[in-house]
Amino acid sequence: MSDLRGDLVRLRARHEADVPILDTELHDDVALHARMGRRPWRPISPGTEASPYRVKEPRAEGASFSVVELACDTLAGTASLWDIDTHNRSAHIGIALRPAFRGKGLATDTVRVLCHYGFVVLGLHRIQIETLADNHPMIKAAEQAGFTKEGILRDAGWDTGGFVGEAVFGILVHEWTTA
Amino acid sequence: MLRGELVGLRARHEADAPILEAELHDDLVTTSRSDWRPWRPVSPGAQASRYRVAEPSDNAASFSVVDLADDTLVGDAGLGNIDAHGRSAYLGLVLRPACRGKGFGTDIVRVLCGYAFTVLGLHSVHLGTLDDNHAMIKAAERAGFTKEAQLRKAAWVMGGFSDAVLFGMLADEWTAT
Amino acid sequence: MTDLRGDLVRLRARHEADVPILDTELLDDVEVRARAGRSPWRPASPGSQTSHYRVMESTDAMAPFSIVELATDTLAGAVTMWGIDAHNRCAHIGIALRPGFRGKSLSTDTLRVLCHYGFIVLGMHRIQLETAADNHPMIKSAEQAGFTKEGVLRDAGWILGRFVGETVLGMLAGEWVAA
Repeated sequence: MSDLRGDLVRLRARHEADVPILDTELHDDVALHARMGRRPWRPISPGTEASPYRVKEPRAEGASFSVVELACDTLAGTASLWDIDTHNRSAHIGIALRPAFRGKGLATDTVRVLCHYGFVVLGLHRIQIETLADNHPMIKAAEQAGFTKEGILRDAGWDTGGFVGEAVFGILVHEWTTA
Repeated sequence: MLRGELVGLRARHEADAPILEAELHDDLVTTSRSDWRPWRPVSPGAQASRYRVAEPSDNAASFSVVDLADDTLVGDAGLGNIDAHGRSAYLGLVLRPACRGKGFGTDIVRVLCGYAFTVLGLHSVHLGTLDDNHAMIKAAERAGFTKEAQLRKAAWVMGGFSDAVLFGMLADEWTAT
Repeated sequence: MTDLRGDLVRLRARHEADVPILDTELLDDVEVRARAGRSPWRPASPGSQTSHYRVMESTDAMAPFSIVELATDTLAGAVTMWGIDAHNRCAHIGIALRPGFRGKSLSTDTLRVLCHYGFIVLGMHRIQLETAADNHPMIKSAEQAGFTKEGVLRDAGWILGRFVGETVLGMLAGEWVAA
């Protein structure tokens, strides 16, 4: 059996049981949401179509996963490869971990597993991560996974009351293969 | 149900879908080697599952394969691209991991040929697989198929391009077996 | 101006004025249509939405072109890149010339121009062409354009009262660059 699995986590499709947990711990945290999303936080009722974490049909342009920590077989967060562009063969990574699962190295492992999916399974050429310039845990995860910092888009994000820069990281397939 | 020596082919039941999704779809190597499309995460019950219960159609026939000895689910098999004008179809099968290497593949190919040539009245059946899928190639050859083409580097499989091979059998060859 | 142009032909989008000509000379000819398609010939009224040659939108999976002979600036036929598969980076070519434009090497030139489109513009890795096994002019054109014969699917098509094999020819991106 070959699934999407790293040293600490595995990625699987979203299950219905994941949705209320992710809605509560990720979406309902206004400060966290402000740092993750490009859209302002809005109240979302349980079980509605507006939930960013609802179960969806797979699409060619994006692949949404639930992250499961291997040690405890528990839902640890969400991860996605989004804006999959088969012409330019590129995609973006987005990750959000539940509060109790941060600081354990899960993000680096999740990024590596998503890179395996993107480069090996899908045949992509480039994968990109954007994060706020002061999101040090995400930046560390990207760098540990082999990404190169390519620049900072100044004042590109609005984070509860002020503009923040957005750091852009990228990795190319040959860098991934030789890592 | 269509019966061979070892296996029976019946319609998909709801209870089959989660087993096939877990053991076949969720295995990235199996899916990447058996599907032209890239593997994607498919949530339980999604319409996109290739193993869900579907209405019968004129251009495809999907079966669940069961072991006649104990009626357990062995895998997924069927005909696709059924072309009523050219009277041809493509044959495909995927076995659950524990059911490989037991001769089920050859038996399934024979049962599907019987369905295609006798029940549907087709003139030719084709079968495509990767050129290093020795189990499938052996099953095709044992059932009497002839290799017709080698499509160079036609499939992206887990990090590289692989050759595909096409086999074919004609109605009169089937009758002669 | 860089358009899709060879030594003898250029390819452009389908125009409304092309449709009645192609319908009459290619679609209404039972023998030509039977040999060109996988479906049986059926009568189609002028302007039919079922016409293979109607003006249609390009999609990610298909790009229809009209062929124009450069010497006379006249519509010479139709060619389509179809089954464009961005994952396996494969595509197929289907070509049909008007009767008055055959035997002039236009199809070899058309294939070369479409290979440029497929390999250079789309970034395909492999281009494939299927034709009736007894269509010797088409097979010769494809081989002259650099395609390799990869096999014959025996009796794969029903053409006017009998089964005919289907020859498969393929070209890889590396062979195109070398040509």
